[in-house]
Amino acid sequence: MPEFTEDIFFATIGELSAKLRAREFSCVELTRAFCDRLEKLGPRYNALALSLREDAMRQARKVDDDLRRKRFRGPLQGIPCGAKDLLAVAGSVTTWGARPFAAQVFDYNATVVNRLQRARAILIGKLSMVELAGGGGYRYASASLQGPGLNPWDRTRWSGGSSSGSGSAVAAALVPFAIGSETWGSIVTPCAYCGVTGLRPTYGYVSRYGAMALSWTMDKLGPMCRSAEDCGLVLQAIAGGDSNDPGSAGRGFYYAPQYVKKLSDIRVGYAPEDFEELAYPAARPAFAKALEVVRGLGVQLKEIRLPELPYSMVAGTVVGTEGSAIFEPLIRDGRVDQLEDRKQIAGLKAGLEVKASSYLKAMRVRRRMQDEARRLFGEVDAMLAPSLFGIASKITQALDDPSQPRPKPKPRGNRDLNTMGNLAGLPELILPCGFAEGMPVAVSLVTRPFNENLILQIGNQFQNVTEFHRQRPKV
Amino acid sequence: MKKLTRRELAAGLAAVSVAQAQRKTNAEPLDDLERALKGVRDTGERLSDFDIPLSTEPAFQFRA
Repeated sequence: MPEFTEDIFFATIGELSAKLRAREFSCVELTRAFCDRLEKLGPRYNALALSLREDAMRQARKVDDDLRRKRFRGPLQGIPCGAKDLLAVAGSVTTWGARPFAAQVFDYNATVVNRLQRARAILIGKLSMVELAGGGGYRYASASLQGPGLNPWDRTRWSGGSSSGSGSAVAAALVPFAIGSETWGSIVTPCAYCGVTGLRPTYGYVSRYGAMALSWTMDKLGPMCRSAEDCGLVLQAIAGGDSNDPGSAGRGFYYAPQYVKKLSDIRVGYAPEDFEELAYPAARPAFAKALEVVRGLGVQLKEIRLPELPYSMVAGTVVGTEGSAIFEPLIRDGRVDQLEDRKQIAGLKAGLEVKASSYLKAMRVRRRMQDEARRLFGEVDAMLAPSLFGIASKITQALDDPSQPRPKPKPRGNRDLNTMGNLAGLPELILPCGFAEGMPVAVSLVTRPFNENLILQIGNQFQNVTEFHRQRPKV
Repeated sequence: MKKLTRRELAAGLAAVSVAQAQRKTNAEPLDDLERALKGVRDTGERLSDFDIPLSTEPAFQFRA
């Protein structure tokens, strides 16, 4: 039995794949080691919703058969992974992080689960999440059936939501990568708080069939990994058209960042105030350093700002209305009251009262935002900003507590970049860029739809010259 | 006036305390609900005040 050291648990997909092919260990051995670690340490971070050890070991034996016959099926072959507990896995409990669905079992797989299986990745566990992905808004990190997501860098702090378990599990090397989902910040937040590299893909790239719906027009699934390269490899495996998802863009993704553009031809927009006065003071040195690293890559940096539009109001109206419409049966029959978080219960109930005219007005303003995004990405190829201005909050702290570090009212900078990106369906790459008060912070790159290779190219170069994504918490 | 037995008095007091406890637990969600409903109304008004050309259609497609 080979010794599985921390170096192996924290290895990237490429590194693990090379070791599997070289037969340094078998897929069964690797899968068993990760299952042991996930089951032992997952509860420490409230990250594990359900272990899938039995199925995983069966899949691992098949991979070993293939590897013995030198049948190589791609970079994810034999790599263990986790999935947010809003993805259906046939015959397994899928709780959506919420008590009313604690015993829910589907008889089919989510498309993304099938795609992972087709790539011969080994799904070893379902990972915890904020109940119903937090669609009604929530006040406490404890808004989850599995308890508050605890941050591997400091267990008194939150791992972020709503893909909390995916963030903790990748950060603590309980899985080499995980699938998360984002409607409005749910990949970006746990990645930034936990020091994980993540990619929220273009709306429609990854099928959502078999995933819990929160907002038909804003839900996306994406990878949370150790590096930008890993994100590209996972996206390549899970993207693609799907007639079962009405929002599917009907196109696949081929990871080829090297063919996009020369770095010196890439124009990156930013607002200096994002990295200075808008950022949490302790995080400013890390953000300033990240900006200098990007500048040092040879890209053209250009000062640019988003137009002033009511991004949060529009996103709140869209998510609130669509989410409440989706969960209307739960609200009407009273099971909504079984949720953990009172703010979420109230938010879901109130969402049923939004007027049709308000929702449609929000969607019309959203059209304007899409037009502005198109204009913006005529002037620059990508936008760069802190993923979040601050660090992970304490798990006991109310998330709507005004004592939390918050941006000052002015200047606006590009603080709405994440919200605009979600409303316009734009991809966002999250890159860990250092620490503030011992907690990870990250910067994001956003680009136009279906242009993931461009931000992955910048991300790869950023991670070639930095070690932030290689930092490990004491597990 | 009917004189209460000790058992009836105890049952009555228990019922009152249960009712008070229920009111207390229901009161907080109601505050949250009132706040959330006010938020919906305020947001609706602010959206309605936001000027946008008559020709602007809602965003229902998210293609490149």
